[in-house]
Amino acid sequence: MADVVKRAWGGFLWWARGVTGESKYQAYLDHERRVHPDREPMTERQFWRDEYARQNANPEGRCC
Amino acid sequence: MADVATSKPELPPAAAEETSSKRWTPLKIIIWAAIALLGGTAWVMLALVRGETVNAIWFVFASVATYLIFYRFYSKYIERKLVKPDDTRATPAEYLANGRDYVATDRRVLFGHHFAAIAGAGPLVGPVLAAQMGYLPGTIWIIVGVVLAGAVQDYLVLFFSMRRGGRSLGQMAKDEFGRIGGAAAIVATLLIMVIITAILALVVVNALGESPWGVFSVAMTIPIALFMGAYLRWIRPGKVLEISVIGFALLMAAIIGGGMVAETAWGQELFTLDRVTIAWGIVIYGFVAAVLPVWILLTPRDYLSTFMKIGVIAGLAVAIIVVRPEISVPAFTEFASGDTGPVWPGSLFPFLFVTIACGALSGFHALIASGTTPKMVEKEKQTRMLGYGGMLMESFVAIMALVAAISIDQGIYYAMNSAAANTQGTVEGAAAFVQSLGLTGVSVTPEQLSQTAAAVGEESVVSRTGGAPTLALGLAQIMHSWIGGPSMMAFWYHFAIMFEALFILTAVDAGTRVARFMLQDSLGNVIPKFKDTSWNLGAWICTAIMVAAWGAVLLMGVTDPLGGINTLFPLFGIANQLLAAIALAIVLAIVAKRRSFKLLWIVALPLAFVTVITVTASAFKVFSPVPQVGYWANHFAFRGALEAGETSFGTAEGVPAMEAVVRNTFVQGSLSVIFVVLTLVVIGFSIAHVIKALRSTEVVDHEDARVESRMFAPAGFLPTAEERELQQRWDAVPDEHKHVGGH
Repeated sequence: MADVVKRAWGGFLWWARGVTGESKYQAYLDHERRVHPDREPMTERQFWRDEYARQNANPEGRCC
Repeated sequence: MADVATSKPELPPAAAEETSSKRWTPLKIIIWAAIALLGGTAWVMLALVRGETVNAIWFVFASVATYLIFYRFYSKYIERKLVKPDDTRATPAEYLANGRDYVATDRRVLFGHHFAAIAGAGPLVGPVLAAQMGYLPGTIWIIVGVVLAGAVQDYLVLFFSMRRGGRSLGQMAKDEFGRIGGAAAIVATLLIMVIITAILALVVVNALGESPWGVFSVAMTIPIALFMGAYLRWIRPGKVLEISVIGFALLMAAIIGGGMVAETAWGQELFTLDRVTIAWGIVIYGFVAAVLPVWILLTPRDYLSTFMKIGVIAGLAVAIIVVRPEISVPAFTEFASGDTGPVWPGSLFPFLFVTIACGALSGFHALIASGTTPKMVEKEKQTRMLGYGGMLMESFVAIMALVAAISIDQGIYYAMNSAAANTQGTVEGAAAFVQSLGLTGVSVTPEQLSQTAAAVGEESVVSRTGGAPTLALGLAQIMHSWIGGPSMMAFWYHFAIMFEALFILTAVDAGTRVARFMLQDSLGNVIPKFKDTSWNLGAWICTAIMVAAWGAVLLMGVTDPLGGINTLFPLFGIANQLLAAIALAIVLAIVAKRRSFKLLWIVALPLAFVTVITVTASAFKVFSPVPQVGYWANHFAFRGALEAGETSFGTAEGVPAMEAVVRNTFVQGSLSVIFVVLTLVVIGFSIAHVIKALRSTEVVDHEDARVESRMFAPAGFLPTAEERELQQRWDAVPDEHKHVGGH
């Protein structure tokens, strides 16, 4: 029973991290390791600075 | 047939066979028959059985059963016959993968992401105002409209944008219609965004006016967002979930603190603001938020908004099922057959269909469905669940808003939603006005109104127009009977106001930013320097232009002697539906050029309906001789009165107020004309291209070239047996053999 609750909670956290965008850095790391194993990926701090700079230049609408 | 072939013999197939989902087992037949029976019973309870009251649970059954049936059968039909997705074909997320915006994202995560981007205050406000006609017209339109129009639009735009590498609606218009048609679509979109932003902001202003509690707690979202931004920048970058939870806790503290502050003398002094001041505050805030880097305000606020959105909507759904309020609003009220209802003027046809836009059919979604989502889809078949399914969820939000609005007493409903010019803004005036409406069984006493205001911690609930306060009251009534009891009523009311304000302010910031980039892009065609979006002066000029445009409409609405939201809300709906007409016109041309003429009706049906609705509504607004309905009729009536030397006319007292009406109706009337002309131009282009396609024999498609996919993911929420088996085979494949692309 405790195992089921633990798994459900883990699943929820995984989902919530995805929806809020927290897992973006991990997705970036996975991509870099797969496609560009030769180059050093950005650190988490660098990545988020870069990410917000990208969002500055590519605004996303929010619906009414 | 065995596995669908792929080019890489050593890899499992990239697409699963649909065998088990096509097979009808007795259990499946029983389940679907039960859903159909339950839905049918619920519709009978809502539409035909005329008791004293109707239970809210029937709204849930009728809507959910209808959604399930249309999702399973109609959207599947569209998929098989018209869309024809091909899972062996890589999506942009795979062949353009860059680890940043083109990222193959799990369908369940992307569904949440897409839903958070499309759902906002729109589906919460429209149904509240539509309740003036009774519950049935709104319910039918929300449910039937979404399954045949709104969800179809979202699904098709998402799919076609995905096939085009995630191109935007404006670019698709240019590809299909050439430069002039494309330009008309972009100008229309820009104007529509101005009007939508203005009217959303007006909803917030109306909810916060003379409400120190509301003003304090909503103002506190700014320091909270700043703190969250700083935390993510310097303290713990990337810990979004953690800071969202902290932010949410602070938000709750701000709501509770707002109640205490509003009771103190200094709190009342400082935070009781009139609506004009609040409007200016939002204008200034909108400009600042749109020029500042996004990490300071916009993104943290968006995290909070997403958190609240999904949490509250899930909470409300549970509450409605637990509480099951009895509804005493009739299926049709007396206003359903007239055109002079006190909440908004106009006849059921066409104005009900523009009053409820979001939730049934929302053109704005076409901008989202051609934005981030198509770049993140893993498999083509998932677009049905994301596009069609996501819109069904928004429709359900609209149904819940309707239930919340009709669960409050009708007398209070009319007292809250009638213009101050009618109620004089006093409890006695409101009670007398509600009496004068002459509705059977509807009345309210001044004491009832004062008690309601006290229960929710407000000075007054009279003439709190715009829908948000009414929804907040309905939500507070449902929630407090589930959690907290009467002492929590005021908390829930302000909780609801907060969450609507949060959505709207996020939409205002983001909308201003998007519009600014669109304007820069368009101006860049004339003055190339404007194309450079990192040029600060250009960014400021374009932001100022956009803010001035929506700010002017907002202030016009706030100071309008005729009640502002009542006259402007139809324009919001018309604008949103016209955007839908543009999106559907683009999709129609694409479908015709793919030469699927037999299925053109799937798009032509909602397009024809929305065109008839918006053109008729605009025509009423332009030509109707009834002053409450027609902008120009009102314009000339007031001008005539001024020329005759009168100093008061209708509900406008004094020459300045009359001059304001003359000015406002001129702006509103002109906007109506411009919108409809631009849209007819786009539809004209679309029809011309359909006819051209009919005559030619060539398939014209602006899709990206086909790339073989080297990955697999299930199509729906729950994987089928074949999908599960295939998934296991793919899980065994080493990572380096998967995915085709990468930059």
